[in-house]
Amino acid sequence: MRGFLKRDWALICVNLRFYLLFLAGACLLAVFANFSIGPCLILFSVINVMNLFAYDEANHWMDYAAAAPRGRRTVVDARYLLSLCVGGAMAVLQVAVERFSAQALLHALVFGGGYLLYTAVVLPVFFRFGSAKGRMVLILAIAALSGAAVAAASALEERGVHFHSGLFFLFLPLGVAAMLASWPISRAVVGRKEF
Amino acid sequence: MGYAIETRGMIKDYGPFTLGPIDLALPGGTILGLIGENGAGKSTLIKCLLGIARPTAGEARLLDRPAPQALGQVGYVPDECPFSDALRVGQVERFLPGLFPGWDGALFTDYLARFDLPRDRKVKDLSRGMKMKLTIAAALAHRPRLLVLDEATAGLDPVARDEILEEFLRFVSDEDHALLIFSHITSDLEKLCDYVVYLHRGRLTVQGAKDELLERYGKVTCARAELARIDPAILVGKRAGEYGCQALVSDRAALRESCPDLAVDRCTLEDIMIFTTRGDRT
Repeated sequence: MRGFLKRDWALICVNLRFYLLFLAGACLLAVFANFSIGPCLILFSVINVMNLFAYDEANHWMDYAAAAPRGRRTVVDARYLLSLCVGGAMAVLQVAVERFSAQALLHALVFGGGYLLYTAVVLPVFFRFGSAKGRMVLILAIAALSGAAVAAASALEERGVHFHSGLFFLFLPLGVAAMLASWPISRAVVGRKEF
Repeated sequence: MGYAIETRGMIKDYGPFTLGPIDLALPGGTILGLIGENGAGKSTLIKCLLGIARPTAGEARLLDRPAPQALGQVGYVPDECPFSDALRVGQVERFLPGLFPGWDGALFTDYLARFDLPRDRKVKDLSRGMKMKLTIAAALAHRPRLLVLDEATAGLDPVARDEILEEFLRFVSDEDHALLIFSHITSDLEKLCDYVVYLHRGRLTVQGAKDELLERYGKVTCARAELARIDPAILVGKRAGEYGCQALVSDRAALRESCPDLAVDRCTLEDIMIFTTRGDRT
């Protein structure tokens, strides 16, 4: 798996300067203005993962991976592991930007859960349909998830439950469960796929 | 080693296009060249052989094992460089060992030097020939026993092609190695191959030892009226021009016997391909 992981990481690093600039800007806004960095980090992390599929398609990488020993499974495993690493790094960044407060940890868990949910949808869909159709599905997923989150938050607030704590209990377990379900689905999709 | 490649009744049905049935057997230490027009099914065949696509019927075995189990000992060179343009050669070098169990870093370094591939150069800045050399180096550096090449010499200048063909000959000088090459450049295949297969509309139309085929087939140049004397059983195709006709026959000796006055010459693989595809049999 190391080979696939290194290749994906190398591709993420291609745009590292732009990413660092973007993150620095977002962090400054979060520190000096009333700006929540969480959604920004989710978007950033998911786009990073999505970009890898665009790189795959440009060079028919999945054909090559499928012709490597145990390539089909390993390419999926590597991408899930890298997605988790990216999400973990973003969560740490969020906690750091919010100065390691208890609320920062809560935010990181909430947005981390949201990221896991999005990624759990994105990965099998992108493995199955490629990046073009996958983007459409992602837009639908964002709309559906955001709508559901707003509706759930409103319902919880009406009952006097704090907005973040409600999401915390909902998003993180859902995200973890979604990733656990998504991984074998992606493996099955790529295992059966003809390139 | 038994057969490097063995397929029995392999069929891939895509609805409007069907490949096969394909029966192939490539012994170790030999080179098989596959020719065919665009859309003949060459890429489909390669994908079925390597498990990138699944045959609808029949089976493919590589190195005496079911194809997916043999992939660790197969080097694959696709028709386009699979490494992202955004990466540098050195980055490719760092991740490849994790993909192939038998990776030989020193051998890859040797190929980089021999093919003049600088580590700090981005893949997008390499010429098509250099990209192909990088892909070939990647395929050879995990010491495969079978090398599968899809249009590996297309777009290369004659010097680069010659250099790469030499590399293939060196690879196959080991009797435990075998090579399958798909190409439109029939002159390369004539230089390189022991066996040739011609794929036409998804079917194996001509196959056999290259020298034997080139010895057996012949090209006739004659007047239109003389064409009628050629036995239809050996007539592969004919092309009528303003000043005369040309025909390809599948048995030069038989033609010499039946029509000793007709001049019959040796043909090339390109002649076989053109007459089979575009030649008129009626």
